[in-house]
Amino acid sequence: MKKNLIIIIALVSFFGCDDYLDVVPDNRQTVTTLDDVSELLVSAYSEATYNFVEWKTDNVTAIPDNDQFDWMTENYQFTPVVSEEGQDTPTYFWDNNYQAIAHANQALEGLDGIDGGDVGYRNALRGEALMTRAYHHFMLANVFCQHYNDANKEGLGVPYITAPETSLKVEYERGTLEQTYEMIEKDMLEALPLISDAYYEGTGKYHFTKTAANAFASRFYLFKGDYQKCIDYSDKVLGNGVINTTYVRDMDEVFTGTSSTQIADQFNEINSPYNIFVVRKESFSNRYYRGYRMNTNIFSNVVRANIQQSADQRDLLYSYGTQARQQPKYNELFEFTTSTTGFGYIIMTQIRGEEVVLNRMESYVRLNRLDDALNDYNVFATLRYDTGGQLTLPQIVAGFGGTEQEAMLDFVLLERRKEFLAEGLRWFDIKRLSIEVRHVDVNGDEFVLGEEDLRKAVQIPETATTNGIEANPR
Amino acid sequence: MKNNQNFYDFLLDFRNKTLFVMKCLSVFLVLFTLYSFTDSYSQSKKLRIEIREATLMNMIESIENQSEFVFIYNDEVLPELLKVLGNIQIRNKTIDKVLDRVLNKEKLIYSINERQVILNKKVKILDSNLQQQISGQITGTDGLPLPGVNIVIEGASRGAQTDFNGIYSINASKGEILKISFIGMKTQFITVGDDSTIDIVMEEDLEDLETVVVTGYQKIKRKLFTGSAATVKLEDVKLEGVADISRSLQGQVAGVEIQNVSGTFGTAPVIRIRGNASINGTNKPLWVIDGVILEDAVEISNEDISSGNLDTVLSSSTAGINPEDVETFQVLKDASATALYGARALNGVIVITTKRGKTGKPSINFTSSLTTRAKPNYDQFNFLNSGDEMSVYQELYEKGWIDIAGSNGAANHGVFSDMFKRIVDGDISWGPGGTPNYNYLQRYANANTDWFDVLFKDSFVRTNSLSISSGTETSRFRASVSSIVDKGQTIADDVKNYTANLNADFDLSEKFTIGFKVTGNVRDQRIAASEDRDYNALTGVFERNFDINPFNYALYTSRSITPYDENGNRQFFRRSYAPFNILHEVDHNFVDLSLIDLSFNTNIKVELTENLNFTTVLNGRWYKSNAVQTVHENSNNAEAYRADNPLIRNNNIFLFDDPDAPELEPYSVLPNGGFRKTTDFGLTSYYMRNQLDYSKTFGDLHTVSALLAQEIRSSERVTEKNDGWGYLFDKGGLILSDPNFIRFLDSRGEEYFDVDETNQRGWGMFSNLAYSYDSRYVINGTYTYTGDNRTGSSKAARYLPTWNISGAWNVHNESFMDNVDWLNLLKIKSTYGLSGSNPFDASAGLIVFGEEPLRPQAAEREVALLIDQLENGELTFEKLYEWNIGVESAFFNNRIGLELEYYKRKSEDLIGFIETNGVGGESLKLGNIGDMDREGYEVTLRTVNVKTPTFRWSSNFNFSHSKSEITNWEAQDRIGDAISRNGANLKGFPVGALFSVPFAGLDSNGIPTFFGEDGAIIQDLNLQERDDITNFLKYEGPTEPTFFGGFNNTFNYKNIGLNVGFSYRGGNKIRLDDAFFERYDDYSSLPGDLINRWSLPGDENITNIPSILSEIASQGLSNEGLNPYDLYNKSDVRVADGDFVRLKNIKLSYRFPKRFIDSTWLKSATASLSAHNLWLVYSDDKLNGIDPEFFQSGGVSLPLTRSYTFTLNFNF
Repeated sequence: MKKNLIIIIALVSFFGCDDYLDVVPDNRQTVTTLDDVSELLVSAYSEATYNFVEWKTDNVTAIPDNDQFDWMTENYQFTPVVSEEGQDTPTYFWDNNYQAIAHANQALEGLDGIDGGDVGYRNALRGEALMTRAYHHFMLANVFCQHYNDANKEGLGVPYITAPETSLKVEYERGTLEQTYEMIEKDMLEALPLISDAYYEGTGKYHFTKTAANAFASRFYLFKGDYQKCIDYSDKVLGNGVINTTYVRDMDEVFTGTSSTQIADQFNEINSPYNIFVVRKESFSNRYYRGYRMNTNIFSNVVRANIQQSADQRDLLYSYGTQARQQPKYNELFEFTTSTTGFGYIIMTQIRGEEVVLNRMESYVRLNRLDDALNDYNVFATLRYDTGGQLTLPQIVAGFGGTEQEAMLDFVLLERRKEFLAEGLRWFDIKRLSIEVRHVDVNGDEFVLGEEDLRKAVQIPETATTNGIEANPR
Repeated sequence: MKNNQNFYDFLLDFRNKTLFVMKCLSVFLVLFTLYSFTDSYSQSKKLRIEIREATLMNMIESIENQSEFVFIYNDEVLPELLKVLGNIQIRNKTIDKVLDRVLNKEKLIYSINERQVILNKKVKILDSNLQQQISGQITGTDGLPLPGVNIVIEGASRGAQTDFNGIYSINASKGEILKISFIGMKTQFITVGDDSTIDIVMEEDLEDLETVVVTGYQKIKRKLFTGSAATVKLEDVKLEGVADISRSLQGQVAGVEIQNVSGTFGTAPVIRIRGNASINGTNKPLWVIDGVILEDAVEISNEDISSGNLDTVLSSSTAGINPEDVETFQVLKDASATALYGARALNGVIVITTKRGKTGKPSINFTSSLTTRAKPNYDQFNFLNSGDEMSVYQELYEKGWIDIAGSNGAANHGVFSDMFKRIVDGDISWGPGGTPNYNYLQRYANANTDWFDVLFKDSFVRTNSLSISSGTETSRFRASVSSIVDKGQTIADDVKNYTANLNADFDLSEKFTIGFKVTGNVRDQRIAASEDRDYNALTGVFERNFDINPFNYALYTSRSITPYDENGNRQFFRRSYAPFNILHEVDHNFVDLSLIDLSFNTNIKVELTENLNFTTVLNGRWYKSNAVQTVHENSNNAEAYRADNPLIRNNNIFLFDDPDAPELEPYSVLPNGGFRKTTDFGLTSYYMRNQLDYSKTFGDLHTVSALLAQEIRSSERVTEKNDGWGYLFDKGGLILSDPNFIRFLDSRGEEYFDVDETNQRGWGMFSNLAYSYDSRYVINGTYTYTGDNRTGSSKAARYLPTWNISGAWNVHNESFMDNVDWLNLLKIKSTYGLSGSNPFDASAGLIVFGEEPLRPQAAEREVALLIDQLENGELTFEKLYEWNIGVESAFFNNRIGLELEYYKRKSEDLIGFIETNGVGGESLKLGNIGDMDREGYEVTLRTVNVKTPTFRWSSNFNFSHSKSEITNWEAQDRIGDAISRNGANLKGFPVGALFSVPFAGLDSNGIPTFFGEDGAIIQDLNLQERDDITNFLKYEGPTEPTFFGGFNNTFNYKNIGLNVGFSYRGGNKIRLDDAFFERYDDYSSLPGDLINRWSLPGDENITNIPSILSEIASQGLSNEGLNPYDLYNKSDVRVADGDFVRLKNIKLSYRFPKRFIDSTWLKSATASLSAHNLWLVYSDDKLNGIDPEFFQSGGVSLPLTRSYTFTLNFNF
């Protein structure tokens, strides 16, 4: 009896305890099915915008009667943003992009651990994971590094992460920009044939659809300077030959409505084919009574004086009691974390059809296929100018000067600038094209960003540099 | 005389020893005591004696060594004892059998009284005429006569007992021995001499308790105990009328700091044993009740106890325990004492032992008390009166902050903006020339509303407790019930709390004992309605909506607002866009909380062999609470959801701005009814422990004891919240939910119901080995191995081995101390060991949770998995290495007791959030990132200052000092953290170091300025800055007290007793609430110092109170990016010392005289009058009377006010 008892105690005590502790302590989930991987990938899209780079461009100026914030001023004055780490800052952008990448990597690891399942589904998931990983690294590289070209490609890249982090502190090397681009290209090219639209909910536009992937490739090769490939991937979206208007919104129609919110909703309408890829962004950047914005003057210079000699259908400005002016492109919605406070967010079209059109147009010009560029333009222009905006090469040369190719390039880049006002893309053009930016702040002090300027690579966030990431040279 | 007991005996004996407390003065008990004492458990102890050529003396030594028996004899019998009897070999016989066999009955007689065996020379029976009548009076140390005391003549069957006057008489011969015994008193032996009158004073037998340390799983003889622990009898520290026993420990035990952050029933005090061992952990001690770990119903960290959230009223582990059921507390402080709790013991352990049934006829105890509390008043605080408020409003008006347009769109109104609204409504007219209507305002300028008087009330708390204890030799029972009926301190709260406790112990055989315990607690509580506070990440402050906590309302509401209008009707002012009157709101918006807590315990004890015992403890506990918030359709809270007047509807965030209908103005999604919000908490916990105890004495000197135990536990918690929309309370619960409310919530990312389930499991194995040599040298080692399912699935993360080694030297037992009469106890002890904790539920594995990303298009909705925590394979438990050395001593016949302890602690692998480079995808990670050193000492001095037959004064003074230093902390706090109330954690500083912005005076516009780096004058500081923040800031001190303690005095004079207790603490700094701003409003109370504000140039030389800015000047500051007013509230002028001395309690008690008792059927009766929180003797003037312990957090928290209690206790 006694012995039995002791034996029982010994058994209870030393065996079976580990199973007992295998019960999960709360509602946490595990990644065990392809659906789980698919759900992980829903989180593989960064909620941070790069819109803060808009405040570094020549699209904005000081608006003295706006509310001023240090972190906006830091952007405007081309100094590192250290006073704020929340939404619309480089820190937030850095953290969230890498968070999206972590989800992609976790999804890929999850796929490796799951046997069986629908092969098509599995491939589609793998494709999406690789593509979103490539995309987020690409955006990081374009914000935090110099523009990719022969002169800069030996410079610093961004850490390219291909596996989940498993320990507390990990040191990362930035590598060269060339290495970063190679990795992006490798992931992207592997992903392109795998991506499938068959498994997405709704329109799938919150994810990388096939169209979105090709559109991204178009941007990638344009920024890389590989213009033929840019044309090739643009063609996969737009079709060969002259564009049709599927991927160009009718601005007259879109920019008409009773309120700025209604117009913005039309602008970002998810069911419209020209909105290729959308992401929900936690951002207050749409509050144009804050900080540095466009004013009537800038808008007039960019949009109103045109060689088309026509009213521009993008000419729609809203104001909020200050000199700031803005087109109604985004509608700030609000996510409540408490019943009175929370975070503003916008649904932001990350890649629009017009960008692919303009990417291809620019690539044609770069490859001196000026007629092809002009043909695309003349289709595009019918939906932008009240008069149809039709132009010929001589008219453009007359308007812009220089050689035909130079004039066409300047012309296309101006269309690009008009099209993407307040969407952040201007900054990348400033980097690509080595444009100088002059800013005068509310106190009248001038800040100049040179054509070739180290500050064109946004400084790595303080949180990263103090934790072992190499800072950009200054 | 040596008295070596083995451990087993000790355990068994403990139960009998607990018979000490009852000072029952009853004749009924006499018979019982006669029998119970002659057959106590120890007498069934089986003895084993094997001695060659033994004398009786050898045998006595052997018995003394293997049992607790002590032999008492005088020189007359010595010759008999030294006679050689031959070889003795006796096995498994009880003491009487042994003695019967070996004693020469012709010459010696024996008697056994509990542990004492008295040997006497046999006296020839003398003629009865040689006997004389002995008589006298028997009294207690308090001089009270003791009725019912037993007087027995040793070796004879004659006995007597005292009458109601304590008088006895008995026939005895000279030389016979009188044995005088009484429950709870030390038994005395008196040899009859020539005197025929023998008066006897009996002393309380306190020894029993003080010789035992209950670590929850083990009971250890104090002299063999090597750890640091303090025993507190609840009876000595009990605060009459205070329902939560944990509060009574304040100021009682060195090293234990108790902070009463809220007086709301059910809210736990913050308890720290030897300071915080962790930086981010819960830092709460582990509660153990009768050998079972008491799991928290809701898991709340020390910091969150002060949040004022609804769940804080469930935070106290001890609120459901009837104080009358508690026998003792044992506070286990060092690693040795807490060793068996291994990976959960980081913050110390408090063990509660409850009362069990006692052998004897039913003994009934009834206690009833009545408590009343004082209302707070404005003298304790520093606010402007309504006349001065009005002059500030005038300035706000002149400076553009209050105007007619703004007022009509404003969310909240005070009297000034209300006036503008009335002008617009046409109720009143403008003043002359379009000025404000000062005639109208005059009434409010004179109002001086006393909100404390309006919202607090003088009501009573009635506490009743009834217990009955009874038992036979083999079974014992105790039952108790108690109730607390609290009519509420304010108009918004009340409590009814009931407890029941039933326990039964059965000795099924000599080797098999089984015990049961059932405890239950039921509570009905009404509390002020409020939503849980939320952290607003944008502003960095906690927000709480619709907070109608009366105390907060009284503190923060303008005194010019009136609760009633001229006609005596309730007057409404706008709040959250809707009409608001606090009295109306309290009637229409409240929370009813009900709670049921049931627990079953079973203890089984089996004696496997003489030296080996097996114990099983089983416990199951079911806890359910249900809080229902009634938000009546007529409440402000509900009306705010339909305040859609065109002037405000675009501002009112409680209206729905329908994204699918942009042409519509925001509209209400609560057109009808109010809310019925329920919050349910549930806990189901199971616990089992199996334990083997071994104990054996080898030879006479070597005692070995060992323990091997295993435990397994599980706690499942469920929290469920549900908001019912559109509930019509006045229509019998008709539900008219607007279909759009879900869309409204959906558009905001909110939910109308929420469920949270956790399942915590643990497993542990413990072993302990102790060896003592001759009771002089003790060495003790413990090894435990415990696992927790929350730390992840890898073995390395899941299990933590902890260990401990300790030793003690009982110096007073040394032979060289034999002649030192003045020293009763001198023990030196030391410990080194490791304990642990997993404070954050930090897991080493990947954690992903499901979520739904907010998307405006319904067709695009999908479910996401979000990584909550990346894998962190290196993550491990927090660890505490502790070295403790202590001295326990007692002098002059135990009149002075002094304990000194010194400890050095090293907390390692402390878990915190560390900022990463972000590249892995998680910018803040939980990791083992810190180490902390702490050292401290504790002094406890117990003295009996005066001791005469009628007067006794004893005191207990304790002092604890504790200092921490963070030696490694890889996270970097920001300036904003360092200047906030909780301070920052920085390497080289104590935990929670408070910093300030150094104030440099007001500038010529009355705007504050500060010293920046290198003495520059600044008005702007980046609160996000995290590098070298000490360059910018002034170090104020720790937020945690560096010293604390208590001083308690007890006076007894005849029937009267007086207790006076002080508690004190200090060395910490308190950040005052933010009080000064660029602008103010007309609905909040205003700080009294505002009267000295800067108003004219030149004032900067005479005042530190910043000016009220004009709207334009304020805009100017904002444009320049300056934040001087934010910094002012966080500057060194807004810091107070946390030091205080408090007269915590006074208790005057009166024991009813015998004359009175004799005429009733009572055994005793006591009446007492006590007062708590009577007087804050000292605190920093800067606090303006605000209690330094209380945290201003709103929600459900209430201050601990002054209270008076009248208590009656009857025993019959």
